[in-house]
Amino acid sequence: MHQMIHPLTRATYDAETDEIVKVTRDGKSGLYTRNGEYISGELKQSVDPEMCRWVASYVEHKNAGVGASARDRAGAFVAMKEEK
Amino acid sequence: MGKNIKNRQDRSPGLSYAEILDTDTHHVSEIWRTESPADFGTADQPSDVYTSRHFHDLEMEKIWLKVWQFACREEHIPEIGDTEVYDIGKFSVLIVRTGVDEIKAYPNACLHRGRLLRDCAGHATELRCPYHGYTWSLGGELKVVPSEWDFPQVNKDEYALTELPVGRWGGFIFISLDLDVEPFEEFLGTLSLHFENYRMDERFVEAHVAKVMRCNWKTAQEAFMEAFHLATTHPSIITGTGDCNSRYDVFGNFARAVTPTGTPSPHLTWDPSEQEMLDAMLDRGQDEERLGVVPEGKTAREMAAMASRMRVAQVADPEWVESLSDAEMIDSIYYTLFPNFHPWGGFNRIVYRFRPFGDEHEMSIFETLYLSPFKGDRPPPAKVHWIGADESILEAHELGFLARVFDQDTFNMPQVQKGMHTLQLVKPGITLSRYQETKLRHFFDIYNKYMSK
Ligand code: FES
Ligand SMILES: [Fe+2]
Repeated sequence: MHQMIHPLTRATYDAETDEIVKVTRDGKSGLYTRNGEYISGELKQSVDPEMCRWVASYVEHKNAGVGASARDRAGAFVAMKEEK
Repeated sequence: MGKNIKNRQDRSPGLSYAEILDTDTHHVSEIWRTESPADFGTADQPSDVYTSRHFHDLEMEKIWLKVWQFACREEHIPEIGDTEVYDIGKFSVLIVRTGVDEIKAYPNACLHRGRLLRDCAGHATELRCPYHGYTWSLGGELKVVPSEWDFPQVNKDEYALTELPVGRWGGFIFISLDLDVEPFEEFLGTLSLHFENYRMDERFVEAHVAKVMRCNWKTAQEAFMEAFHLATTHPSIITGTGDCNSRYDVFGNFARAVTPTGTPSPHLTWDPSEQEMLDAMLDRGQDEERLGVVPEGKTAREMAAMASRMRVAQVADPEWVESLSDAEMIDSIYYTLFPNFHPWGGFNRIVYRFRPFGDEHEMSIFETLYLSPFKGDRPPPAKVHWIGADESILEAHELGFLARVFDQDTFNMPQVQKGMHTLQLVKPGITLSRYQETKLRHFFDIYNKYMSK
């Protein structure tokens, strides 16, 4: 849903829902809450709660229909694309 | 030209902000080049100012009853007779447009038995107390004393509403509860020069969100006064954000932080490409289509600045947009005017204000206003969207992407407040960095002066 590589740890954070995030590192994965608490899976370690929130909130906003506004940075690029 | 900070032990590795400005595709104004660092030393900041009732009461008396503070925007009271209510702690101020170009502010209390004269903003032709009907003109003269025969002691001249000092700048209305406050222009210092090119008065309040927080107002605002927290609180953006290459400057009662984007964080242990930096700036996921492409020979900064200029030119004078540098188009430029007013510079639309929630010392109101340029008729200002202490800031859909950033910030703010009580069992102060937390140290430098007066 919203997959990002952590710039510092290089682990992958992927929001499955707005509450559950799959974290993958060195080929192992685990599921975590949006606050970074372990739920299940092979990867059981300290993960970054802020990164979990970041990808989860993307899904929450997407579900709520919050897109990039024309005045956001991303919105500016969307507008440029549409103009082409 | 700012001096190069390369090889300085007390600055982060990586490009200095002055070097980043040298790559700008547009004219960079002197105010941008000017560096004004301050060294407030390395002493700990006692933490009881955040947690104790005593300090809250003292702040009420020594700061909030004294200082100039942002009350509302001119556009909130465009017509003669429009009123606004600004509450600070246990006090309330009534702001009234009394003439096309005249604004008055009064203590919001009836001189009979003290009821608030008005509970909220709105249009009025007179200021009539809802309790027994004492009535003043918009200009503050006592007009009606019900059962006047029963108040032989009430002399209408002496019962005029007290006019509080009002300061106006850039569409912002400031008030002070101190009749002897220093002149507003003196208090502002050179702030208006810094914002000269940003046309703050030609903006409208496009969004206005007020989030109740379970933390002291200073705890709340300090989450927005440095870039030191970015790598930990907002890790996803640091691929394209020079967090510790930020510059911090101090000018009298205000301070400025500038955090460059389109440049990698010195925390990274790998070298992102220009494309990877732009993807990070646009929050692109691995599984998503690219929004913007950086052509060969171009930089993420140039591309982001170009897109930003195009977007702003749609709602603002294109000549004005061309007069702004890349830095002003895309960097995070966040000012703080003591004690609680945080307008962003450049073309960033953000203004923050933080204050105690009522008379609570461990609760606060964290407000975000988007001040946007407009074409044609001035759109009406957005109504305040209140979000409760236990509700999520993600509800603030009107803030778009920024609500998600705040979701990360608000994850920490109440926990800082809670943690400080426990910290006090171990040490009496919080430890601040010397440079990156300059704005916090600058705040306390002024704070201590007010508190010891
Ligand atoms: S309290 Fe205002 S008229 Fe009585
Ligand atoms: Fe933040």
